[in-house]
Amino acid sequence: MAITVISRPVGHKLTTVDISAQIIDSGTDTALVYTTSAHGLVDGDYVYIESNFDSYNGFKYVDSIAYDSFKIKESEGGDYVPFKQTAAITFRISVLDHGWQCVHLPIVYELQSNIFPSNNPNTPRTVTSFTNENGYTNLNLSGGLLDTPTLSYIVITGAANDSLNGVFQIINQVSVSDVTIDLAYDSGYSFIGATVIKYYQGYFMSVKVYGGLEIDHPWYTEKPMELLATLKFTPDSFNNIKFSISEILKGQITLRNNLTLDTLPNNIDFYTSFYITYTENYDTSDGTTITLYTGSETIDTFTGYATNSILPFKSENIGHLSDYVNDGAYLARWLTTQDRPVAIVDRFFDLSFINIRSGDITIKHNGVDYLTLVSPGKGILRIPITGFAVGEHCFVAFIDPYTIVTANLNGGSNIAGAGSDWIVDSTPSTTLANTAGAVSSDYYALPYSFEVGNNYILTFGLEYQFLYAESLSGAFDFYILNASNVSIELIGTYNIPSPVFYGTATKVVSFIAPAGGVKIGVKGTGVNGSPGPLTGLFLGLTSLIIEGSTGVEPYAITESICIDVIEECSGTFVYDNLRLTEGGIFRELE
Amino acid sequence: MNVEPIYITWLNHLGGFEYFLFMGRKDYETDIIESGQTKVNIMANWPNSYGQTADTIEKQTYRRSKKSIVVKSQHLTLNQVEALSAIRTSPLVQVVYSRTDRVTVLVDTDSFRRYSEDDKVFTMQFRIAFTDDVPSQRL
Repeated sequence: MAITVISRPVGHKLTTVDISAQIIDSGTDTALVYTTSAHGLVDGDYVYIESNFDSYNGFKYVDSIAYDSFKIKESEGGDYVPFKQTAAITFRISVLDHGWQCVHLPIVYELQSNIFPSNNPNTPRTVTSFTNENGYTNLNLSGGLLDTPTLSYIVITGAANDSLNGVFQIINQVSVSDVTIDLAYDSGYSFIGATVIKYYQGYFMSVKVYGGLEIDHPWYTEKPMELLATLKFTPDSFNNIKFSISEILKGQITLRNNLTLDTLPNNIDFYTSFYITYTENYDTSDGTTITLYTGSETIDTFTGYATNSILPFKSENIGHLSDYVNDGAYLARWLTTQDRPVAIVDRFFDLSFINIRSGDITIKHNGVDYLTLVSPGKGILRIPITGFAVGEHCFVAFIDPYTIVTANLNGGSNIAGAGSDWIVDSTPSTTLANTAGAVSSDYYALPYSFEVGNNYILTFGLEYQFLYAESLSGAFDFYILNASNVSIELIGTYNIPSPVFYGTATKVVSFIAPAGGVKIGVKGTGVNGSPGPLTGLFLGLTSLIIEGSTGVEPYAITESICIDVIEECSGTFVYDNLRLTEGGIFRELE
Repeated sequence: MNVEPIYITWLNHLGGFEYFLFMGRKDYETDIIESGQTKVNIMANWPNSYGQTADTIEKQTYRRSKKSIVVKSQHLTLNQVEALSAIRTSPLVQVVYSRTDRVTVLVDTDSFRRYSEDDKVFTMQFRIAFTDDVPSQRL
């Protein structure tokens, strides 16, 4: 039993180069794109095709066949595009597959079940004979049915008499190939041509929609990822479900203009990330009782980003903000509809753009650094443009990108000392001694290759519990250690709130990597009452995300946008001392 | 009298905010939204309620009104007309006094002509209404 994601709301940023090709029959009635020369594409790439035929047009998933040919699908999980007729096409290649889209347009997923309503994995059986069992029809089958005890269901198809086609409940399973169903017996039945297979009664897919900021976002605590809705779907006759989650995600968008938002320049009012999980459910029988079976929950690997936007009808990018995100040489446009915005001296003005990467952002004004944003996070960034004199001013955003690593905490070790030991596994932990006075743990040390002088941001997931009674105090201290496990720098402390018996927390620490630093160190500290109360304080690390600047030269992520700053008294470009003549030209008044 | 420019910001369809200073001569208006009145019970205070010293037979119970401005632009370029037209299609329009002082206004819902191909110069105008009522007691 399995659910496949047929399509996800993935957007594509296209090159500007049109490549000519031809669609021919692959030999299996599927379309084959033949490029005559090396196309350089691999499985998983996307292209945008234009031709004179519907089936070939639009965004397509690439399945590379040879250096000069590839097949196409509507999406990664979809079927191959069928061959209709030979056609000349042009296509452009997607350089960036991204998840940035408009929350005011559908954000669509398509999922497929492999067992309902068509049960594809199981082998259908034929009816070899049938008999009367207490007035009901007993079927002897050509082979065993999978997992069909009494009270489960089967579906019969292909019988010449249509009244025999349908879903029936097994009222008595004699064996896996001998079942009595809730069909009144009639000796005149004919099951010639009929097939029998298990039917997953009561089948539905449940989809959970999560929205908020990702855990490595610097403003995660302001808008943490949370479950927004649980949806239930019954697949259609093709075993598919297709749905939009944009209406659910709109609840994460706040439509306001808050120029004093705490998170600025990141306008988290206008942005949310999202993902889904999915589970299949159906009735199952143990022979005497029917219960609901719930399968294991699968977390979809795709994370999308929805912004407070909408694109016009007939946009090439449909609902995806491909022109407003950056990849390499393909720069993002600023979020303005004006070719050349006009700002007024001493009046507030800002410009927005979408940042899709982690790292520090520098806004350059006419080539000179104007504003530096330390790790503002993904989202819509609002850049205030103030204090400029009359004239033309051009702005470009540059990024000093970060790498993001989810640390394997199992790779650390306890540095033996006088304190309590860390138990090192995927969630290292220690329990401070319950002796009077000040207590501490040994160092937990996790090796990491820092680039000296680069900025780093560590996000720790923490857990703590006072085992017997509230301690007087407790804390996590975070260090950078050298190769000899000696502290070079204390980079942060998390004080456990008191009085709190149990809790979890997230601590973000930023620092510049010092020379000689080769390990991330964590030490727990606490103070027990003297002579009491005494307690053991449990301290644990549940996660660690490491963001670090890559050392690569900052590069532009937006196009240059030029604005005109003018004085308040001169608000027009068509001067009032001009008059329009009949010939259509302006004449200056004398 | 002096022309007071009005600085307006509006949400564009991309999720960013646009700004423009409207320099044209504006019309300041007050829209009477609704009012209520009631007949006085002249029996209760008869005959004084009807005699020479009586002052009214009907009473105004409330009047609700909002201030509005007909904003007019200076001469614009064609690109500016197209961009500024979004003021009338945006769900969020504000008058900006400073970064911390803004007022949301409601733009009229009348259909409008953005420009004509005959036009040699481009301007635009629209009505904005403030969302707060003009202070007035309700009896």
